Amino acid sequence: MKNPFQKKTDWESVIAIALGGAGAAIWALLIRDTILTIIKGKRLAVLGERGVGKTVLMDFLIQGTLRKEYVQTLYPKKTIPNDLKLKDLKLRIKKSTDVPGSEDFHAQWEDLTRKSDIVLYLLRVDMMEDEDTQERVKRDMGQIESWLRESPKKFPLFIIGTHCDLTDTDFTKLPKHQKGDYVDDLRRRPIFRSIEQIAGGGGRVRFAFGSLRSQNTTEDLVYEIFDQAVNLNE
Amino acid sequence: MNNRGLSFRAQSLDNKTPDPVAVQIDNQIIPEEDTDKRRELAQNISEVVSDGTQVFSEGSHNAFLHGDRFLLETPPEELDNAGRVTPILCYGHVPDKPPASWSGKIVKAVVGFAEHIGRTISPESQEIAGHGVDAILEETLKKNRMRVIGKTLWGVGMGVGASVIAVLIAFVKVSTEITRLRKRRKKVLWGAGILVIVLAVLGVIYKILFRE
Repeated sequence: MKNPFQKKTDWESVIAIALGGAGAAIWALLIRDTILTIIKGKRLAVLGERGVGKTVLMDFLIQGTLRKEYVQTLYPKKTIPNDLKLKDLKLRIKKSTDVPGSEDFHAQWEDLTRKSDIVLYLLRVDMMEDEDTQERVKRDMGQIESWLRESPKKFPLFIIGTHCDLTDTDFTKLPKHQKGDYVDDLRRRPIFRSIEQIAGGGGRVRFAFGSLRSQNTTEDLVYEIFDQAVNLNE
Repeated sequence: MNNRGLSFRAQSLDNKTPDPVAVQIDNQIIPEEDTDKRRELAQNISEVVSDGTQVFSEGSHNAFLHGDRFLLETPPEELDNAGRVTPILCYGHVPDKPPASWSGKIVKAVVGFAEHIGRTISPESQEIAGHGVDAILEETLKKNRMRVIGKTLWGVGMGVGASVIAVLIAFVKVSTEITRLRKRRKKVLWGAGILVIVLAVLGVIYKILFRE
């Protein structure tokens, strides 16, 4: 026998689903708008030791692709602004400067940092066991922290671990569910704890790990950075 | 670095050991501890690039000029541990009257520094570097010519301006004098006119009085 309430119950479900769908759509639109607003017009300072991938990252941000041949950056080079679409993110990158990694250019680093909205500090994860590299990174962190402390703007500082494809475990070949463990393992290392402390602690510092070896790995790393930047602003 | 000699800078091939930086006097590498000298050169290089003009570019060869300061970027054959081109920078001043051999001297000095740090600049690369130095010279000569033309125009302009002002002053003075003379002539005419009228009136009165 037919249930006399069956039809009524169906309508309620339809209305509930419709309302839920509309709510989800509005929520998604709001989130999308928020993302577009937050990422709009950021001036980036990309810093780090020689050969860590500053130019590769900067190139990707302003061209969306990687080049075949690279040249060591021996003097500051002005970069052009760009709108970069990456999955659900639209990044509006303002003009900036690609700076050399040598400590001799710290005055140029300082100038760039003071004019920026986000600081990205790159380091080679595969070199972090080396004492000289550790000392250099600590010195840089101390410098950048002092510049950020003196600045009236509240800067987020992203520490970007590159060359993760060259560590004992190739990060880029790990399945998604194991990548979190890899990152946790790195974050637990004394050197990364020390760097975070020198750079101003968890309130200011964010980490992202990956590789700039190929177009895909670079896209993943850039997405990882700016996804965090969005959440940070929210 | 305050002398007018050449300075050189390169980045180490392993991207880890100190970068070779030197002044031409004896091509001695400035030690890592001498941060003041190294940073002064870094600052000079940055200024020439950011405030100056790029006068030459071919592949990884570049040349910049800012005032009389120049920067020449020349790639040697060696690549670094990341497979990147490893340019050598040469920073210096263009002399007031560069001799014809200047271009060759600069390229020779770059080759000398490259050899000193164990790098090789191919003959082809040396030739392109020479074109870069020629471009620096050409731009300097062009700027000097423009400066001379500018100075000449300034001199001529000042002369013409002074002459115009002198003529204007003379014109004003002469005009004033003419106006003054005209005013005096008017007074004389007025006086003469009044005198004639007075005489006429007197003549009329005389005639009326003596007719009766």
